[in-house]
Amino acid sequence: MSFLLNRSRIYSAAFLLGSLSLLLAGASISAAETAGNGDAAVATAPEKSAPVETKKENAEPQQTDDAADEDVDYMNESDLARKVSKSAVRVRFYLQTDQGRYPDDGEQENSIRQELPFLIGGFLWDATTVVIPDPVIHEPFIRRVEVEAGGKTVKAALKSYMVMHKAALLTISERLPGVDPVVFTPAPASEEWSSLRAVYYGYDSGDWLVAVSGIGGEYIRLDTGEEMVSTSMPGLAVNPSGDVVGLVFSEYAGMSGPYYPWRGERIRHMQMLTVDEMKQKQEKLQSDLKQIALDVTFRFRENVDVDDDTDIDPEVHAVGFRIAPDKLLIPTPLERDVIARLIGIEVAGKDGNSVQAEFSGALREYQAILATLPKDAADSSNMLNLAKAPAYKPGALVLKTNISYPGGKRRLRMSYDRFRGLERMRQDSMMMLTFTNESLGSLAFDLDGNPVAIALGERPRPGSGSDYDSDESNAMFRPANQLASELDSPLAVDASIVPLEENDQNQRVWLGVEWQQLNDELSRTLGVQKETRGGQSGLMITFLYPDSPAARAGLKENDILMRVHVEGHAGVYELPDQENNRYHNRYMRSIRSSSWLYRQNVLTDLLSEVGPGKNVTLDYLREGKPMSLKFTTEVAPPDFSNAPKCKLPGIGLTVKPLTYELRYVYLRKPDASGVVVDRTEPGSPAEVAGIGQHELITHIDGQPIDTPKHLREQVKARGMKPYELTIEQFGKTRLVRLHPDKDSVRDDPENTAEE
Amino acid sequence: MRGRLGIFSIFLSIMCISGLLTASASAEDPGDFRKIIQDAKEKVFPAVVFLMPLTERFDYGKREKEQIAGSGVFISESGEAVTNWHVADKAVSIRCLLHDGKIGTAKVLGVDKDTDLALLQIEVPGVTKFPFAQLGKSAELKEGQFVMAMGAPWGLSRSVSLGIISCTTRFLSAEIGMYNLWIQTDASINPGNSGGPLVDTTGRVIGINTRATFFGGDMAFAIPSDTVKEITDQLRAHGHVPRSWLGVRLQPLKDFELNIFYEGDQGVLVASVDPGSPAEAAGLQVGDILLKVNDKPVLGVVREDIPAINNSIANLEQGKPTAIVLKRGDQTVNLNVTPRAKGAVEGEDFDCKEWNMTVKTINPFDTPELHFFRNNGVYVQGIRMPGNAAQSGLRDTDILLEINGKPIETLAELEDVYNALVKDTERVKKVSLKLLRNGLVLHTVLDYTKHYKE
Repeated sequence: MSFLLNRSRIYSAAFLLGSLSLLLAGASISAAETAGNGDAAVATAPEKSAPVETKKENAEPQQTDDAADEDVDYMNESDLARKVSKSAVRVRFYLQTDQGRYPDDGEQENSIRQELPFLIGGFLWDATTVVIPDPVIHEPFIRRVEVEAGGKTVKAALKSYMVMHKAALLTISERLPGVDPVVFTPAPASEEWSSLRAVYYGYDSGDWLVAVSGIGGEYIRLDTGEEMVSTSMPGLAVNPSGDVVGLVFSEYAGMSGPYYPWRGERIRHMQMLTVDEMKQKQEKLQSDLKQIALDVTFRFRENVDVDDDTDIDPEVHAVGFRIAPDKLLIPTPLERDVIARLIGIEVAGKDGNSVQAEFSGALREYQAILATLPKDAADSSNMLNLAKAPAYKPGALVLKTNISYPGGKRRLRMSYDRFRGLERMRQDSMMMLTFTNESLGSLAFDLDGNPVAIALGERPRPGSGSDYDSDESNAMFRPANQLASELDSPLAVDASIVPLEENDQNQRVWLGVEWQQLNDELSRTLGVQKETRGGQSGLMITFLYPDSPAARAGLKENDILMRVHVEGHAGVYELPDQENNRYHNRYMRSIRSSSWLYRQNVLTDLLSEVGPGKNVTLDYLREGKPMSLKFTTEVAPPDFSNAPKCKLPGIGLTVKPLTYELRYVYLRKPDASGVVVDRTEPGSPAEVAGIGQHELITHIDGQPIDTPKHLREQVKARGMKPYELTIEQFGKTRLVRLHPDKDSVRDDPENTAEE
Repeated sequence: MRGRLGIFSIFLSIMCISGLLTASASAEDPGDFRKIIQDAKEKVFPAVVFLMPLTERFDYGKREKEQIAGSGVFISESGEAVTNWHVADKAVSIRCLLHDGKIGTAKVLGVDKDTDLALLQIEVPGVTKFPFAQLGKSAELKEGQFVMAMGAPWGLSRSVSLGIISCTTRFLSAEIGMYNLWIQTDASINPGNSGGPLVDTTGRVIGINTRATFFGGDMAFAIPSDTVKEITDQLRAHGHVPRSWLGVRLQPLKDFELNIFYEGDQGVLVASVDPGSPAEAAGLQVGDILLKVNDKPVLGVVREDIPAINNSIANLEQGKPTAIVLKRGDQTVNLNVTPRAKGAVEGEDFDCKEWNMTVKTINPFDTPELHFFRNNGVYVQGIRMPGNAAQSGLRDTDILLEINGKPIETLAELEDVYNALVKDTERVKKVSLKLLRNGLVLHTVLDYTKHYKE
């Protein structure tokens, strides 16, 4: 149920059932403009009686499809247009940038850039007021407003907004001669809604025009009993006789309940919010937010190691909303591999002090983090009570706040908006659509100051290729009360997205296989050309690591891995995922690669994005037959590229442990012991002695070496005394005798990366 | 080459030598230098031969012939000539041009890759006696002595150049000169000089010119004549040099370049013990200092000492337990080790013609890195571009594990499979291969439907 008609519905109206007769009443209108006495040109008799008789004698072809209303006589369109145009006015908004910013709405932005006024058609409400469909232009962008009709242009200013209807009122500085205020029939009238028509006045395709259409696209009845019609165009609701029975500026016209007052004179008594009142409410919100929306600074581990690809800022600012006395909801686009490097969440408290909050979870479906405040920073009186959030009301005016941190400094932007519909998203979550784009962390409040919705981004699925710098403006408003119940569920948080220790922050999730991509020839020979689309999909296992998830699950060499399904995700991940492989091409392995044992590849990258501890179904082919198995993802043991380095003092040597892939594939000795040289410092004793990268160090003074830490201890214990290392490469050993360098020993940093 | 050589790098150049020299004796008498040179030259120049072997090579992915040029020198009246292994190896035929213009052919009596020497029998119709040169005693050489290089630099036969001995005991690397040191000279030696003589002022051959440098000016290296004598005797007797092998790699006690120093002035350090070797079986360990081998004291203090030790090990009697005395830590240990035959130092070649690639067998001395991954097997030696093997994604040094599911460990197995496949004209010309590259298994399909022009 989503009726997303955009602002210029005049075009979509053409596709609706029901009639549309578009009258370019250019003649009558231009007459009105020039002569100032438009209605003189129209010979139509007073509204009430004439239309009925005129219609009958006219025998003009009915353009309405409402066969059921054959016995209802409609005022013909041109009469109707002429009548309505007597009340029509042309409003010109002259817009400006606000501190260098353009409005989010594209048309508004365009009018500033093109230096043209933003044009909107309206009607005279009373002698000093004009009513227009609310263009949702935020105050700072309005330089001035003009209203023109009856040959006269007068200054105007926004006066108030209709709360439950998408209409705004402007006061005009002078009266407009020759323009009649709209007269609404007393309400309620008894006509069937389907007999009503909407009359639109506005600027479209280079002309000011009147358009007449059936009032609604569809009749809707919600399960709650509410009835409404989706309106075809913003305009006056008119009955067959041509009486104006109401205002249909909103996307929906309710048939009962609070929306019904759009009918008739009662509309003049609808709840209004004056511009001043809005300002007051915004001020109150602003001060409330000081306690509810707290400044959060995320701190990350500095990335001093240039081998690590991840490029992140050490500090990121965000806003944290207090949703419970000691709990913050922090909308943020930070993803798994960045959160792995989180070392602190600082929250600005009162009096400028800051407190440390504890990470309590990253949301599974949304880009947000939950944090817990220390007890003494808890505050039960200033919270966003999501559970008590009122339900969504279509068309309702809401006050919006957005907090951002340009240059690290908090900036609050206030604005207002209206909801135009709901949209269903992934996992049945709902999204409330507004008329402007949302920024992450925006909030929507009703006029009583209750939170209605929070703007959150959707957490992308693994392999979707998005990276840390995701655009913050992909956020959408989520109904607050729905979010409240979602947060209660134990599945709200993705337990695998957590800050990690330094040695683990580059951890991989693995299956435990070496694989090869197929090609057309190979797929044909193996008889899987169809299933693998000529070798484009499918990863063929060429080696299974002992004691790995793959080995335990019973996979075998030559099995072809095809797809991964993750429990809870609707999508399926093809292996290899060609489409989303923006960065992954270098981690492919085919007959054409030169292949060093690089454990970061498309398979481990995908599994790492899925996260550890997830239930996964793997589809594969065994001798051409499709098979399937379930397993739970596991963190891989460190491999050479992400294993921690260990610097040995005094000799300019950095080593890494003998990781599993080197042990099994390269050395083919599972019980081998030793450490692998990562690098040697130029001119150091190790380099002079000819020790090279990737060589193995197996013994120190004849004693076998276990781990880098063990070697480091042994080296340190020897201080400045010379010692002997046994070096091995390609199965051949040699002995190296080293004299620690005085300077290197002195400068040994104690806190370098160790296990 | 892991062992660093410092400033210069050595390249193997194909050098040809031709020259003619007869020289008069009188090494003691300083005399007129010019006369000394002329006399010495006259003694050897007529014995220098210009060789043009037609060799067979497989390394370009195809079995093809190539004509190269080199030099040699007669060492016996019957027409035996010495040259380099890299001149004579894999020669299909060798044409010779003697100093006096006579033309003949050479038959290879034996080659030795480890010392880069070869022994030829030259045949010239109608000639039964050949001018020959005498070998000198390279052990008595001194730096600064004048020497002449004779041969055919850049194919210009009958050339002679003059220089001095720059070094009498040059160690190059563990791979180049495992059993011998080198004579370094600044006499002009270029490609073409290979196999020709280095002659002293007494008119004796004190070295065989073998290697030069890309840069470094006139710096070249010759195999000492004492080594030449030893090797040619073996080649004459056996057609090859039978060597014993223990399976140890040795390291000097003092290595200035690597700044590695151990105490002592006796013995040599065991750097590596090969798995499955006689040394391992005997219980030798890395770090042992060998003091005596076969009751003879071992001296391995500096790099230059190593080739002699390797040589004496190579000369141990195969199959006979030999006594070793070594120092292990503080203890002296006595062991017996039984050397075995070193065996082939190079793999065998084969041309898979229709597949546009050549293969070779893995050899522990020739391809130690491949040997590390697979002790026995066949690897891709050369890939022809463009070609069927290239199309399939194969690369040189890929080890072929299986062809159409059949495991391949020997060249015979590969030849059988290959020949059977290409003979079968009915079958689809595709074969699936399983190979090992850098330790990782890969699969591909080699389609040899296309026939690439020669």
